[in-house]
Amino acid sequence: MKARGLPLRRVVRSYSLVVGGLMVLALFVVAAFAPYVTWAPLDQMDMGARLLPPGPGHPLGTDNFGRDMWTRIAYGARPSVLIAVVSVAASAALGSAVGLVAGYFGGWVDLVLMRIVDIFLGFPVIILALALVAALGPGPVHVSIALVAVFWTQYARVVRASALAEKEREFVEAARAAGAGPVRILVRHVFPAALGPVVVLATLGLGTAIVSESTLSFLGFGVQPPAPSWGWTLAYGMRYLREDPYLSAVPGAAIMWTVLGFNLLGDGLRDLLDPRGLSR
Amino acid sequence: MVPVMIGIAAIVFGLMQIVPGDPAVVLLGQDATPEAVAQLRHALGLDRPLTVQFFSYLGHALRGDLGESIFQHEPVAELVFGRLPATVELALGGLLVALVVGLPLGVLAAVRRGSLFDLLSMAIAQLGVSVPVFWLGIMLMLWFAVQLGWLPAIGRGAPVLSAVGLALAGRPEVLVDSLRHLILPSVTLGTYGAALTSRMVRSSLAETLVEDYVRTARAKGVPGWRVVYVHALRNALLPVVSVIGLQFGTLLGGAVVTETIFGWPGVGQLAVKAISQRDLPLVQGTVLVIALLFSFVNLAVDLVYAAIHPRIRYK
Amino acid sequence: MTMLRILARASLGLATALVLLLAAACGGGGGATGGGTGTGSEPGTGRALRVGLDVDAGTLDPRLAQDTSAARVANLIFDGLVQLDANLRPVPDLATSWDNPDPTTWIFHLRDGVKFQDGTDVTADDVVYTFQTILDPAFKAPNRNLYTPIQAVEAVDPHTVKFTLAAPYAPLLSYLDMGIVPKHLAEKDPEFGSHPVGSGPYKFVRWEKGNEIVLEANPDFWGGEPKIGTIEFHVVSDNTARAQALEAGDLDFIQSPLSPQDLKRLAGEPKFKTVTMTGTGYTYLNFNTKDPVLADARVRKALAMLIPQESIVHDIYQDMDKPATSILIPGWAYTDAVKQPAYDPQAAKALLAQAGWADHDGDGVLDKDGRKLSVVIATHSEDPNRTQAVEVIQNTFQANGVDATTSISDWPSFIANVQAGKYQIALLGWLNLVDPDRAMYNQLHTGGGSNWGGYSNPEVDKDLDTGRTSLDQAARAQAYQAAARIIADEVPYYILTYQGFQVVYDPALTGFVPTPTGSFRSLAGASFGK
Repeated sequence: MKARGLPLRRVVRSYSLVVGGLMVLALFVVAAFAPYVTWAPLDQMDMGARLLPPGPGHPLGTDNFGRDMWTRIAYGARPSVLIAVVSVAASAALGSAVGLVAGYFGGWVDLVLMRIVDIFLGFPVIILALALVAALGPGPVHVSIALVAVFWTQYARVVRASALAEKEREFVEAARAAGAGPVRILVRHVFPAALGPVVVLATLGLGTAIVSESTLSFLGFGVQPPAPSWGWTLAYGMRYLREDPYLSAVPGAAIMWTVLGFNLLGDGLRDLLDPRGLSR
Repeated sequence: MVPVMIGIAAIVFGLMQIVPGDPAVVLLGQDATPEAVAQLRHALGLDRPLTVQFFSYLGHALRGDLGESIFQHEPVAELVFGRLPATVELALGGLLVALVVGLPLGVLAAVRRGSLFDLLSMAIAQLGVSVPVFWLGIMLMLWFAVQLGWLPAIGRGAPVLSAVGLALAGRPEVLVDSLRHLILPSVTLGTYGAALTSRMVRSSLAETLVEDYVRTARAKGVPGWRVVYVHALRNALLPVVSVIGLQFGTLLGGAVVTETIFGWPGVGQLAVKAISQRDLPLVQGTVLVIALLFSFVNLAVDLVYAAIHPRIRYK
Repeated sequence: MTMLRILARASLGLATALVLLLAAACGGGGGATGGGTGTGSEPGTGRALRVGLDVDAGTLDPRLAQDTSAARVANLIFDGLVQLDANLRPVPDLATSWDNPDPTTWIFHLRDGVKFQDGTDVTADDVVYTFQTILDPAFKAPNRNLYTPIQAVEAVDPHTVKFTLAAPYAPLLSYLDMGIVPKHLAEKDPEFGSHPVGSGPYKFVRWEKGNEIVLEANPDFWGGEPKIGTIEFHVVSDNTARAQALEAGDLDFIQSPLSPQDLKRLAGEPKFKTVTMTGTGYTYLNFNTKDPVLADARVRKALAMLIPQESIVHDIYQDMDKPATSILIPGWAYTDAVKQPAYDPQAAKALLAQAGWADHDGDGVLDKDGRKLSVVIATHSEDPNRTQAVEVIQNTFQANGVDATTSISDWPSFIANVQAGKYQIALLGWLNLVDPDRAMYNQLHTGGGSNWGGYSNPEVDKDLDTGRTSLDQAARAQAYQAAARIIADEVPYYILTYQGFQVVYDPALTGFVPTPTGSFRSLAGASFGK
């Protein structure tokens, strides 16, 4: 990012940035302080109080084991957010590295790396993730790995494009003439130009990652119970659709809140970093 | 394209080797004797060296032979192509929803930039790109099928094409049924696309509306609607087409989930089922066909792009 | 039911709606209120019976039948030497009588004048051919191991068949409901299973894979022509969708597997007749006795006392399954005198303390020699009732100081680990337990093919051997009860539920007798009473 000031006025005027930021902040607060914003024990089942609708004591009702839904949702933010952040960070790192190398060196290096990107892009997303988790086994780490395999290619493409443009610039030539090694040039001079798009992509990617994680859990391949998981709760909710619509509505709303927050934040960031954009 | 396909086949093959569980055990049941399992593995050729298995598969695949499903004892190609029409029908339904809802919304929002309508439709669009496909599907099903009972919750009617034929032959109820089945899955699948389209159209059209040639047209007294629809929209559609093309992957990915929820008998379901049974030839076949479909769609997008882009057309 | 299960099973089947609608469109009306729903091309007369299947049949060759649909549909097309009645007792079918000159010889006398649907006679040669192919390893009959004690099958004369066994094998009779195929057709047609010909009450008409199977009444059936002219089997894989199709009048007849929630709703509907009975399967926890922690029978027993069986059956299974009392399934070998450990956290605590497990370091988790009492409970993700049961058990274990975690993966991964002995406690089930031998021998005999937990007790081995070889039913029952008593005490298996079997159908259908095996056979004598 160039050393260009971000006028506070523009930040505030971009309401999607503000609203999105606040939504994401709320999410992080709930996830981080889950023990302090909830009052029911996380794992205390009460089979006599299953599937209660929202009411006093249980603001969001109870789940199919009679556990307090608000507590499950609040704690459930943790694996979701953690998996999303880790997998997006890793995707961005891997994709950026590949994109930089491919764009900067060009030639057969570029050819081979981009072929690999094409192979991963050719996969139907969910099927690749499913097959990977089936191969590695369920659990947060494996889910993160699967998400990285699915998402890294976008970053590789974006970063490669700006590396291609950037490597011809004078300051890069100058650095090369001054004897800087390729790693130094890539990190110090080429990558900063791509940082803006990567940040925007990553913010939007967090939303996608949350949805993908819950889709996998929903299909039985994600976080293992009794760990609280929005996807699992939703999957059970499907079975109780007629008796208790809350069981699927509440975790779904939580997922949507999160995705919406990250999307708004990502849009706001894009406007901010790309003043020409008319999408405000 | 061929190297990419080979790469995909290799990855799928590798993954399915790591996945624990054996199709022979799944097929024979938990009480099968080890001898029976070994025998079946031999019959299926699963006891051959991995390289031999892979290259023999590849050799056949390159000649168009995708092998036979371990579980359904039918040629993979038949199974996949038998299911493909359902998926294409669903994807087209989703695309239709995306365009029919997304285009007008985007145009109106662009024309009335800054109005309440603009604000509202863009808020809805923001919600639309944020709602998880599977949740939307469940909620639509809950409301329109379970609570109101207006539409069927699950399943597919007769293929729309043949239903149209029947309707012409005086049996419209079959077509009505097909369309009723198609509505909820299409809306589920198309919502993301509709939201995305309306946002793209709005920003792209807003950009063209301030360009010189549009201003010139206006200055020359061309009526307002003509300016918007004839002069500006055509150019504004260019980025939209390419984005929608790129989004087709998301659409197909969404189709896997949508098919699952609505019991839509398409390729996505077939693939997921194949994974859950370790039916390697079928997993390979579905993934390869979907990847091929992908590249054809990209080609089609290029063609559409050329069709609405004069400069490319005349080149 | 998780989505994966739906995925796994909702294959081509849901397109069924098309067929149903076509049928409705042609016949007008249709549905539970009756009226002719046969499409014009349909053979037979009168109202067709529309049955919902959960999976499509893999084949209609009874010898190769793998899934329940294959076995049940083939059971209408073919006759067996015997049939199993509602109490799982073998009753005469093609064989009118049988005798044992000695414990390893069985002689069956065939019914006179029975013809296959192509008009040829059913002879002893067909019976011999049927069982010889099953026994041939190259034929790959999935249930071959049930018949391997048979050393030879011979035709004594056209109406008499002799089975010679390697050793006495009492359960054999329960497995002789296997359909008898016509030798002259089956031996030269590799596709026999796609257009079967038998001697049973119904004839094969057509089969649209993944979608529907249509049968019509066999006018020459030896038991008399069935009254219902046409039976259509529609594949609707999703349990809820199948229930909804019944409610919408698109099906007349559905049966287990069904979702507890749907079942509860249907049972309250006067529009339908719901029959509930104990099926032929149990859902159980398999304790790995080779595991260092679980090798101690006291630990296994204590853990069994920490399983809230009542609550699981009532709240999760919604009483669709029944709480099991022991490994003996209700039937001729059952007695309620054998009882597994009941839910009793206090007693569990005492027993664990006796085994050396107590909370010595005060962290709320039991320990012994500095090691925590840790167990992993595994099951597969396809069945939501099982994943929920595991969650409840994990929770109760945890609450009582056992450091319990869950491991839920899809069926192929799960069963691969269990078969390799890589598990501590696994929740799964056994089906088609038409004889106690099938419920216990391979599972718990030392070195048994499915004895994944490595359980071994010479006393149990002896009882199971007696049960297998004695031809005296009372002696067999006694042997199985003795074995069950030891198993209930040492807990290599804890039986969680007796799987329920439910049939829901249009009450206009009369004369149908549901059986725990899910057999459709009695449809041969059923009709639509007005």
